[in-house]
Amino acid sequence: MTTTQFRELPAPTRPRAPRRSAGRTSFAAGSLGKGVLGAGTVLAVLAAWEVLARAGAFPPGSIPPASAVLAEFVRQLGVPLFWAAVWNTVSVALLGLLLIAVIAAPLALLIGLVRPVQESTWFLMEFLKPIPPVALIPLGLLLWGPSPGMKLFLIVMGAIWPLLTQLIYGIKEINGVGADMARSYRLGWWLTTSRLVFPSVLPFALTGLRISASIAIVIAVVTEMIGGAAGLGQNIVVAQSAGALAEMYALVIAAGLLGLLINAAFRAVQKPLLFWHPSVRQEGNL
Amino acid sequence: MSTPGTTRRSTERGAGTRLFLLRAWLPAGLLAAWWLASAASTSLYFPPLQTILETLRQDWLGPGFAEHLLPSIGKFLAGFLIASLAGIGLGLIIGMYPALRAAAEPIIQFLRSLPPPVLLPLGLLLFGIGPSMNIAIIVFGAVWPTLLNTIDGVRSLDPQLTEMTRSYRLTRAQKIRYVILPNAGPQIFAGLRTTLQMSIILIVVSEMVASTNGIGYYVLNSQQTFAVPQTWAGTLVLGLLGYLANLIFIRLERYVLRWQAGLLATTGSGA
Repeated sequence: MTTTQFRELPAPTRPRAPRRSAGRTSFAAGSLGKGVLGAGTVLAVLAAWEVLARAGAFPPGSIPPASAVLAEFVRQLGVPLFWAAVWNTVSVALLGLLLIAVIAAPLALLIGLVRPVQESTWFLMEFLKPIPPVALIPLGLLLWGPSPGMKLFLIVMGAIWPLLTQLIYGIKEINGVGADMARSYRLGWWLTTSRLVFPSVLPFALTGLRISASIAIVIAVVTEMIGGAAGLGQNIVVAQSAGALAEMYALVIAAGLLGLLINAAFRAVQKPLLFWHPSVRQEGNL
Repeated sequence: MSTPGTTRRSTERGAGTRLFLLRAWLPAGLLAAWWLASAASTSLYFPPLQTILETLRQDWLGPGFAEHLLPSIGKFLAGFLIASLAGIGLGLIIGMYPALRAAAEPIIQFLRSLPPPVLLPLGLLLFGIGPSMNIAIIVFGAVWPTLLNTIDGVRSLDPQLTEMTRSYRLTRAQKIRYVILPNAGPQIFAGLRTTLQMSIILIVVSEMVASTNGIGYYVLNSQQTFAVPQTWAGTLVLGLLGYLANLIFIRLERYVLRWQAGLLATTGSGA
């Protein structure tokens, strides 16, 4: 009995492990002590940065002291142009995500449920998926110039894959017994979709959407930096070429916080939506 | 990801050529459609596919191969390897000590949330233009998925296994080699795959911004000089490179984790 238990206990967590990697939330299972340790490190790093910069340990003209960067960051928060840039970046990324969801959902249904479609699109998907989205930037620039439309196209082309593959995967994972039962109980289309398909696909959809979201932000920032479309990325490049280093680092910090915020938003949505899912329940118990 | 792959392979053997045709008709058809539709094209932006392919052959199979492709691949491999080793090594250390984990967590979370390309100006300031900058950008931008997944994989070790290593008196090195690394393997590889994709993105972007050779430089330069067939050809080469890198990586992953598929099959936990 003990041996079977030993084998069965880790079983449900192990095959999920690679997938959970994207859905990390437990890293900080936040007790007070951990928070203090974490905050302490942040302060220590900032202090070390300040001291090193003032002592001239970095190459001249590369990294200003932490205090100057933080002051600039606070100043930026009061500048309307900064918020306009953030909005330019975020709005296009969100619009792209919306488009991605609208395109990926029916595609995933078609590919996941219809076998010939799946086989026919297999090679195309496998070929398009690993193509780096930035590879398309010069082509996008050539065809559309530095416009929001170009950004949008590149975001959709580059960031659709995580959501699409996760959705297909989710559709395939729908419990066979559950599907049979829904059929023998003659649950209608609506009941089957809302009670069986939707809940089984949801965890995959959320994971896929979050990865897509972070890729969308990356692509938006890169197209702004290289293509010169308006937004946070362009501001960083402009600040750099103007030699406004404190401002540049402040903007870099802002970009990082933006990424953190997006992750936090997904985490906040995930908890109430997936309260029944093992990965979330487990975290609550730990 | 791996389960559909293996079932797909087993069906492949049975269905044979029919499956091949089913998979081949769409890509072949699209290529043919592109060829035909663009054959008589006089548009500046959409040159005939034939022109693009000729440009590709001239620029990439000749001197361009040594001038642009080899440096890119070299820098990419160097960056990816350093990022992988650093991610796994640091991840092992941080994952094994809870206090270290708590201390490092906010910094790691912040750095991995940073869209990696914003590091470009920083890399330019610290390293200037050249290969060391390209490699540094890859390492610093792409290390995070591997690092985080390694930490998570190490942490997820079953407490019973930890106790077992203690009662068997495994040394630290043995514990890492035979217990921790295999346990974290699948997750480490999931992280490595993301690191790989980010490395490709970053080598391209960093060459666009800070290099005088390499494929990223070639593509952006051809766009800026309105060399349209070159832009298309470079984009195709980039796509092929991304595809090949991924293909090789998946082969490698299957080889290294080959014991795991068997384990899942015997314990029946694959369902």
